[in-house]
Amino acid sequence: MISFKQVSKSYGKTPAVRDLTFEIRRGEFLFLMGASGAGKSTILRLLHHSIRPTSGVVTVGEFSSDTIKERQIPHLRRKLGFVLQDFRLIADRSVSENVAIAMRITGESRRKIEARVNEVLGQVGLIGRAREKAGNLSGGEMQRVAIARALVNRPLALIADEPTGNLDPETAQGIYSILDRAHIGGTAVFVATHDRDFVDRAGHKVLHLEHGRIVIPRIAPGTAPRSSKPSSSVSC
Amino acid sequence: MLTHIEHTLREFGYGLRRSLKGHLAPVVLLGVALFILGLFLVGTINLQELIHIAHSKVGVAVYLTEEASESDRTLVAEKIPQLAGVKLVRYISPGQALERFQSELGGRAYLLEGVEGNPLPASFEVELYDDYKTTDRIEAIANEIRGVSGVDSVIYGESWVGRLERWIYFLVGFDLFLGAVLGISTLLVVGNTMKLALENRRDAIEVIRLVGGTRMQIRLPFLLEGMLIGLMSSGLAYLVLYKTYTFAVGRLAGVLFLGTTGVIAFFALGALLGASGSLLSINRYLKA
Ligand SMILES: Nc1ncnc2c1ncn2[C@@H]1O[C@H](COP(=O)(O)OP(=O)(O)OP(=O)(O)O)[C@@H](O)[C@H]1O
Ligand SMILES: [Mg+2]
Repeated sequence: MISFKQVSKSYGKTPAVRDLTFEIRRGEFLFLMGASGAGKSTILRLLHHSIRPTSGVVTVGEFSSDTIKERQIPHLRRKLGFVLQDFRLIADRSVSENVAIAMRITGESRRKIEARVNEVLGQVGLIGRAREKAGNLSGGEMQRVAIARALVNRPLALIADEPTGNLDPETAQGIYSILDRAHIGGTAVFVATHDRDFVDRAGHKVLHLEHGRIVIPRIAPGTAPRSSKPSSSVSC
Repeated sequence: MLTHIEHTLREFGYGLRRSLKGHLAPVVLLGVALFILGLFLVGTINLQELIHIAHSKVGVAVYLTEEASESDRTLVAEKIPQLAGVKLVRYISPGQALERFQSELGGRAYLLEGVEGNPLPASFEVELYDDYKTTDRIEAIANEIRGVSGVDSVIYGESWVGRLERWIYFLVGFDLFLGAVLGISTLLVVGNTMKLALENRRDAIEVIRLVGGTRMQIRLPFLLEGMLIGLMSSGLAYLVLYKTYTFAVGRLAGVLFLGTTGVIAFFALGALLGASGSLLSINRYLKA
């Protein structure tokens, strides 16, 4: 569904990720763990196709980075729902408008947009705040709006980069609950983070990234082995 | 693109809500520029009309010598129509000339009372085709007529038409120059105001890009905004220009204004300048 095949990406001469091969399967929850500078955001930017691999192929649904035409990239992006650390909302617009905009660019009818926006706002527990200006919300609420926006077009996968990076642990827990619910609802979820605690507690598959490479981590004492074992779909 | 009108109009609306106030000063500035250009265009149109009228009045008068015989007269009457550019030749006998002179003098006809006989010579009035009413061509025709025997003198009122014509060349040239200068300044002004509008809405641009908006979906709202700035400027300029015209026409009868095509062109120019200025900024400040 979504795959990286021997993908390398260098900014100028410095390599950011090297020889990555992995897959995000339909409906799976996959963590991407790595220290700062390991290359997590680079992987997400490659998925978004705002950068292209130096070598190798990134595939999203029917699109492949080696054959995709410039004008098809927006359509690839609509198959994924992105959630970023800084929320990326339009502060002076309403919550529902922030969600609706992602659907409106696909040319959907007003009626369908309204119904679907209400549906996803219900999913993230913000139905009562639909008319509020996004700028007036708390950080946790903003991130829930961003998740609703990412889900509104029923993406192949929800792709999150440090979604709780700007939030306190309690609020972060709420965000992970919402991501779990989306996963249970059938959406694949791919989360880049360096927040070990959540990764360990969640018990989902984990991809470990070190200096741009996928590695099998040494199992630290007290860490549940099921959470740190790389999946069979990960090659190193 | 056309299936996404809803998105485009909404973004356009949001943009105006954020930036319209900031656009007022540039609109006034552009309005003044377009007004000045409009003044010169109207001036040019009127000068052109003046030349047209003057042209229709340009003619050549051919006077015969007193000794000219009947056969000389016939010869002249036959030769002149053969010259290229001559449309019509009319013979004015000394008697007709005197009658005309008397009627021009009107109440002062007594001035002629002491004059013995008719001192006025016979003449031909030569009418030319419009193409031949340029200074050079009239002069050439006049010289040929002078060569015909029996012709005393050839008179034509060319020089002021020639001057007008040189003026019109100058004025059209100046219009183009002014248009270019104002056009470039306009592009810079619109470009700058649209740069601010783009910066104002960086958040929305980034969101649209993140969720898979096309280049068109990102750019078109801004293009429309630039176009609107241009159109509002044209509207303002047109209003002031029209007021100026109605004021002037009360004093100078027969002054012309921009015709329908002129008005359409005037507004199209504003829209085009606005759109191009905004496109410059869009391409400069948006990389994708
Ligand atoms: N635009 C860029 N130009 C040059 N180098 C870059 C650029 N973006 C990232 N890098 C480098 O690529 C490497 C990987 O960066 P990336 O942002 O993918 O890391 P990350 O894992 O997301 O880190 P963090 O946890 O701090 O967000 C780093 O060494 C970084 O300095
Ligand atoms: Mg990062």
